[in-house]
Amino acid sequence: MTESAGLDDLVADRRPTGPGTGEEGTPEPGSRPGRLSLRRALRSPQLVGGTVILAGVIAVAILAPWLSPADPLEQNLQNRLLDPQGLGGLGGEAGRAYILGADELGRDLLSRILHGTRLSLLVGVVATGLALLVGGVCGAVAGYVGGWIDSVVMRVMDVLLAMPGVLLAIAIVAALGPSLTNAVIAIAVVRVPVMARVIRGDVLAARELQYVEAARALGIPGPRILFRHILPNAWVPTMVVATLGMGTAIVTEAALSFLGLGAQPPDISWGRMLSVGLGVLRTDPHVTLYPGLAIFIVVLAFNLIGDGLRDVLDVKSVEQRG
Amino acid sequence: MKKVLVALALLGAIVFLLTRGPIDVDDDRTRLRIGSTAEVSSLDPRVATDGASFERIYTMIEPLITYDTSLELQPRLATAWERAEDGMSLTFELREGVQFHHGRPFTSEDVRYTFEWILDPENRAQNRPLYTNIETIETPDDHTVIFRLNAPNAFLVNNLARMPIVPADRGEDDDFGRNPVGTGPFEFVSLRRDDRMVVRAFEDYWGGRSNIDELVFRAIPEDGARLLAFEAGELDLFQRDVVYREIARLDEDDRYVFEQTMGTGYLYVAFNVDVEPLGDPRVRRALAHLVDREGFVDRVLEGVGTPGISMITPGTRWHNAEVERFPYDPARARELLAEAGVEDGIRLRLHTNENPARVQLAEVLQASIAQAGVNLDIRIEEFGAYLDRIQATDDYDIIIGGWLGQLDPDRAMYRQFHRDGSANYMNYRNDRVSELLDRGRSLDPESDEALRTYFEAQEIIVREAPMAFVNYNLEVGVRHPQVEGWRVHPYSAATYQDLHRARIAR
Amino acid sequence: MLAFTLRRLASVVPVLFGVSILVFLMVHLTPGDPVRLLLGEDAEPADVERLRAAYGFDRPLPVQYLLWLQRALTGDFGISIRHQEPVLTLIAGHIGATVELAVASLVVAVLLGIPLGVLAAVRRNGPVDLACLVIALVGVSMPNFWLGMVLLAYLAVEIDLLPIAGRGPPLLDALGELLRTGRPGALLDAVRFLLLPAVALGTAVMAVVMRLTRSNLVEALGEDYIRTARAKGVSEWNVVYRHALRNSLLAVVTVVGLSFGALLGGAVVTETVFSWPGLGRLLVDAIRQRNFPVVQAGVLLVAFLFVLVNLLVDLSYAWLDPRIRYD
Repeated sequence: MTESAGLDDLVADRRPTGPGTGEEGTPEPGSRPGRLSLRRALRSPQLVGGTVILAGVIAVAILAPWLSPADPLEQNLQNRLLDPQGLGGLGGEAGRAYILGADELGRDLLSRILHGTRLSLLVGVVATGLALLVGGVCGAVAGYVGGWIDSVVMRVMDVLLAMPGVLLAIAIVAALGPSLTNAVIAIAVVRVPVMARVIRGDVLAARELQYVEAARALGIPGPRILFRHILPNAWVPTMVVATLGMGTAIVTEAALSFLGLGAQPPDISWGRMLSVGLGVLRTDPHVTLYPGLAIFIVVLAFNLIGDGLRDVLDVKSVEQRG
Repeated sequence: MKKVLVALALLGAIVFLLTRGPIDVDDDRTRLRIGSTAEVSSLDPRVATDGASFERIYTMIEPLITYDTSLELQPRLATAWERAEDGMSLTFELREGVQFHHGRPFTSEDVRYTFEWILDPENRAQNRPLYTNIETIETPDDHTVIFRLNAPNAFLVNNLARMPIVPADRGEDDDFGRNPVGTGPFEFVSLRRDDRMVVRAFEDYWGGRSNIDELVFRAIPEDGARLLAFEAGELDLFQRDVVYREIARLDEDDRYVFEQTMGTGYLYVAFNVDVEPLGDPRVRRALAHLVDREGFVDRVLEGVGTPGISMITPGTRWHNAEVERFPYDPARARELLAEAGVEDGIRLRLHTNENPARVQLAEVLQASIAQAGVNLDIRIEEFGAYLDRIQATDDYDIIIGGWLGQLDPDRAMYRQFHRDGSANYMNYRNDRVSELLDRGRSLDPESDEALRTYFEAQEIIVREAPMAFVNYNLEVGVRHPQVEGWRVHPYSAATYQDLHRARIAR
Repeated sequence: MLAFTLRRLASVVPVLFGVSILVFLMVHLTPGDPVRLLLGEDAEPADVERLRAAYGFDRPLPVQYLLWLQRALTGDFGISIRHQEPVLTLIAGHIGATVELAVASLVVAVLLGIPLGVLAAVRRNGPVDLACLVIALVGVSMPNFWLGMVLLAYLAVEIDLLPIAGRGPPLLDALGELLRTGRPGALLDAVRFLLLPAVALGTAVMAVVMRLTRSNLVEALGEDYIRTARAKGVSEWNVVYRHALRNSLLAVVTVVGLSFGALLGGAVVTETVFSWPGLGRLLVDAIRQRNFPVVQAGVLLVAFLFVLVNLLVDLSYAWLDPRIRYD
């Protein structure tokens, strides 16, 4: 998914698992994922930095109404596209500092950006969660059961993967109608095959582990082995991919909303704010600059965390599979 | 490393095969570079319907009559035309000595061919409904055409004026839509879609060879990008969709010439009268009082528009300036709503498509209507879904939409407000209005009676408020000062039809 | 190797078949009627019906699909509803611009990414390495269409040489022009137009290339054969360039290949920002206009190219690295 500057697409496996891909599913010898301990985590500046930024972003999302100088929905057409007033704006009109300027309907840009954090995080978490759930079930079942079920499920995933992500998302939203919910569904669908791939690979790897074979030999039923013994071991690479995927999901939402296919007014979306910016790039670059900067910061946080996790947990396989 | 080089060479070969195309050469020909708001759909006037296509088609293929910048009809391929006493036929005298680009003289056969092709239901002519009043077409000689009608339609001549004439011997070519031939001042050279199209002066043009050697059209759909390209000197001129916010600045800057003129369309808020409580005229009038037209025009459109009062644009003689006005008046609106017994806090849906002006109007309305205790749920839809909704279903309360090209009162009212009108999305049914609109078609458009008829219809419709008229469009355009002899046209599709008369000052 | 290639090629067929069914279902279940969109807000209902019948949209969906498939198998992808011209002509007119931009973006990515990656690896854990890490993280976290807008707002507007919108002459024709006539004007023009969109799209790939180059090089520099080479007194530059870098380029080839596939249809918003006349824009417009024939053929083609490029990446992987054997 090129539109979304996500590291994960390039790192996670996007190649079709054709019947002939010899190396697919072969467990990587000796790559037992490490365990996450606080001590190891603290040694990774990326992980620490990313977590700090993300904590800040979450705080902003929660505290947006109290941090915002003005009501993000209140229009004041006299102040359309007002230039940023800086902190000097604080002395101005009561409640409207216009520190970062105003948007096309004279709404306070800073307040809108702060409130926009909520939608972005929500989309990232819900879309990735959905993808993880659906992709996880598909991938785990395919990997564990194998046989024709594996073939069918993975061929379906190949079909989804064969289409560029943004294009697929646009087509899905067009089919369902433009709305935030449908944008989330579309993003999740695009992410499902990526998740399914990763989890299938990990389940295949874990299945070969000795204690799993032992469990099977003991006659423990399949689903129980899958859920009690295999999945708990497969979660590490998945977590890395899911974290990186949050960033991708957030950028995709921005892209869809930019095209008018995502959030609808009065919902506050950074992507929609950017689409206004293109019309006034010369005179009012602030309308473009700041919402984009907000997207960048959130995506950066997720990328830092994902990257840090990969280092700390030593999930080499995720990178190598690219 | 050698292997990598081989791979790169292979890749290069593939890329080369995929990316070939014509290139523009630099030379000393005079050239105007024009920005387009959209790429053409087709260059075949019989199948294209969009303004972006017609802007370019009119430079190459000419109609019988054209609209000038005062919206008066002017001779082009026809030198004279006449409507029969009984209104049942129209006769055109055609210009002599006109050549098509491929060297054949233009005759009445080409006119007949073009309109018969359009009328043939087997063909996919998208403008067919504009011409179905034509019963037969006669060509008594090479330079006379008679259209016989099946019912009087005083305004048919306006529709005929729009249709460029296609040469009969080329019209069946499969690639006519991307390699067209006409009689116009410019002939087709090349089209790279979504990128650029080139036409060059036609040496044998009947009106004399063009002053300008070449026109280059560039499709830049983003309004901001198009204006930036203009200011950077990559474009010489363009009409339509100049970014509102920038207009004041452009107007003051000597390096650019900004021009505006009254357009042919308007933006509206329409009420589905079959939905309660919108069936009550008092409620619709209350909502009409909640549309802050002046505020919207001044602040959202940055003055590009005039507040709307009816469906006929001011400046034409059909515009009735005496209709009732609905000034922005929340207090009056609350009174009317109370009178109609509308409870506080009712919810209504407002549908529109993703057009920025419509979306911003929706947001402004949402805020102003809330003051009167009515909550609007805004539903922005894609244009396709929106059209489906308004045309194929009745599942909407309030819609925001717009009409363009309302060049005569029949076109501006019949389909929209007649009880059987095909675009009567309000489900508005008023017997007197329908009767007036039927009668208008059979009257001589020049008569006082026709004027009175359409004035009365306007008055009734505005008073009953099935639609709140928000603003009339202004047509806007920019050029660099060295480009002379081009003006912004009220009917934007026709804006480049006389560009062969423009010149570039040195 | 041949058997592997054939098997992989065969596996492409069901995927493309699946894509065609999925796309067909998606576009046909989408609300919005191509004929209505064509005729606009003032369509006459009778004409909507007439044109629907003319295009066969009044038939049951399975019949429509089979008819489409039957024609598509003979290479006939139909007529674009909006343009009234063959779909393949339309697509052919757009794919060049997309391929050109994708290649230019990857050139930017590789030309910047590999040297920076080498630099970071050689000076690892120093300030240069840290700077490169920051560049990579920033590069990969910026939405590329936003980067494009920022480049437009702060560079193109200020620098006359950088155009705002559109594409210059096709790059390879401009090259041909240079070779034929010796005049570089057209080529410079082409590059001027390409530069900003290529940077906007290439930055994220550059970041990944840089990281991969660095990590692989660091690993390679620790390998036995490198230590042997060093011990034999081979100069450090030679060690890095001739021995270590060659082996770490494999991963870069993979990333570049996969990115190329993804750029073919996935740069929609960036193409919009730069008014680039590419395939992405054609397809998004077609989706919005419910221009079924164009959407179907276009997405199928993009998917085909995508799968093909991935296959080529796999094959070149095997070809470039003698340690990998497929059978």
